[in-house]
Amino acid sequence: MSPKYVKSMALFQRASAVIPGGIYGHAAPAATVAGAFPYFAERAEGSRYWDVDGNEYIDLMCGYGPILLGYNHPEINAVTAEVQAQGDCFNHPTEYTVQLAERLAQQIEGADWAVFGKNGTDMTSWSIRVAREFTGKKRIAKAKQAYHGVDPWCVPGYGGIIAEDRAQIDSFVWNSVESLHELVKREGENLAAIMITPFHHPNFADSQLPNPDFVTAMNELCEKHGILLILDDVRCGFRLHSNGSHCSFGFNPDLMCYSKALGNGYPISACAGKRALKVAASKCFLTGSFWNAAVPIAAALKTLEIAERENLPKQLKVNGEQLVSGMLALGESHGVPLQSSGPGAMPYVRVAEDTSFHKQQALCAAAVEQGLYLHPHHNWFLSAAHTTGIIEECLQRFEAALKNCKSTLNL
Amino acid sequence: MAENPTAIERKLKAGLFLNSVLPAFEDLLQHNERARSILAERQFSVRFQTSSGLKSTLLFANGQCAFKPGKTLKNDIVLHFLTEEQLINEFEHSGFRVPIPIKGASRFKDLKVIKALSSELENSLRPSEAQLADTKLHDFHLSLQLGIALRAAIELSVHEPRSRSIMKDAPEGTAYFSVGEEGYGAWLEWRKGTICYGKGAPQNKPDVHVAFSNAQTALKAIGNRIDVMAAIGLGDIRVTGLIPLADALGYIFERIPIYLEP
Repeated sequence: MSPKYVKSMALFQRASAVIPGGIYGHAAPAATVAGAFPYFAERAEGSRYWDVDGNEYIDLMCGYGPILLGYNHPEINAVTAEVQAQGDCFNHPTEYTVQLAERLAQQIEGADWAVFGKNGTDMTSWSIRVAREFTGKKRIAKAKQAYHGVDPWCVPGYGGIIAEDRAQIDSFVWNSVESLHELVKREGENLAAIMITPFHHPNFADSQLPNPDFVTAMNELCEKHGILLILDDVRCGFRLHSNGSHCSFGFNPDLMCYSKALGNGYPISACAGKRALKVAASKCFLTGSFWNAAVPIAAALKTLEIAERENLPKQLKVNGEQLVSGMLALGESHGVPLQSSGPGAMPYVRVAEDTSFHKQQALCAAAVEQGLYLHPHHNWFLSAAHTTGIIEECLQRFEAALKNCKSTLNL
Repeated sequence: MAENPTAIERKLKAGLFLNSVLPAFEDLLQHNERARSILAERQFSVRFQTSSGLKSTLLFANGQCAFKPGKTLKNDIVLHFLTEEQLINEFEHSGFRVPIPIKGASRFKDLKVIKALSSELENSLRPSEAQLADTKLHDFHLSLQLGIALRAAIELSVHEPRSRSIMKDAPEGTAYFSVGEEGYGAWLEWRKGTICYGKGAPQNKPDVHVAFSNAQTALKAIGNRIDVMAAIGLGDIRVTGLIPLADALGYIFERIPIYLEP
């Protein structure tokens, strides 16, 4: 463990005594480079956060997506404080729930209604129930390596999973029209839905935007065979397009799932759908003790308002592309070939031809050492707080990281 | 007709003993002086086989042992087990387990040597706490256990449906496992649907390196007796490179105790 992380390690020792794994899930030390990354955070502001040891980072993960406007945003803080003063959790929903549903039905292309939960999985799992209720069919298909949450039908890994959990789940290869045709030929009559992300963003791999012929085939096959298309826009939603990420690529989904960026860090998820599915949706029981809480819903309303006012997707795209082109140029000037993938707002840059990710891990660890938080195996996220000036600062820190680990990178 | 789960498990377990545990005799003869003195100058081969068709061979010569999966053309001794259960009982020292020596029944001295070497292997695999205080013996115990675990992972990835499906989704590459700074090392290579195994460091840079800080951690990890995620966070286990390959193999290691007692 780096000497920079004394408190992180002390906390982790305590955590590992009382919490399985110490830190579990995507934030687990094992998911990055254990010992070279901080484990616990303390505070954040704009594009930066500080770990428990007081180390400062420009954050290009944005809490793994939720931070769309920047940390500790004053307008969000003001509205949530105001709503909190009235109370948060009641016997009933509040007017904010209706307002947010109205807003999503108006804002999301193809949506006529919306429901709310807390996490992405709440919505992806509920949406497949709606699809089954509507179509009367059982099977669900997803792209290989795609992540859709932590319920047994889709969770990565094997712990606690039985074969029956996946018995009705099929898979296809992203961007392969042939694979899609094979799937529909084999299971088309039994497929209730195909779930996709707007673009493919698996871990330990480059991101892949959808090819136009893949989008066309997806839309046509779903329509022809009565298969619902579910868009898992949990990770990308409101970063790529204000009206839903499907508008960026041409998908025609029936159900759209959101979370992460929707509440700028407040816990909220949503599923929006077409009018034809509203009756089926009404039959699929959906609830949680905290799902009507007013504060996150008010935060979401404000987040959407600010994102629209600032024309955020365009800003993120421009600044993200500035970041990526800057990094690629630095790589070239230092003799470290880099490659990029994914849209500007959610880029992923890695050491070229580094199939084992050893070099990528060394580079990201060096960046973290310089105060630039980059994930070695997962796409990155930009927020409104990543202004042109912050991007410049990112590039300075990235260059220092490149210089510091050049000998490792040229192994 | 599909085999019932019990029959599949029995076959797996018998396969694990034949192909994961038996090769440990190679290490025994290589590192254990007492074992070499038991074998002395004797040269013979012994095949273990079951009526269901499982078989493996040990060749003893020049104070060493060589393991051969399947059968070699001519064996001096053939120990035949009527059922897989009997073979399992033989390795677990329980229940009915008398093999039929369908060849070499009169080679009393060699049969006695096999028995003595088996006891020696058993002692090395399950030493007392006092014995483990001896660093040399401790390291040897570790190398035997890790060797068995890595070979068991191969066996499971080929024959156990669950492990097969885990490896089907795993990225190809070489995983290197090491203990301490200069301790035990071994590797597994997963490519084109097959896994192979070797001792020491792999020739080329591994795709993923799993470094256990010490023997205790390694033994607990392969015996599924440690919170591996916490151990990684604490720095007791270091994983660098193609983590999904280590993850997949880790899931398989976790399954070994289902069949083999650590």
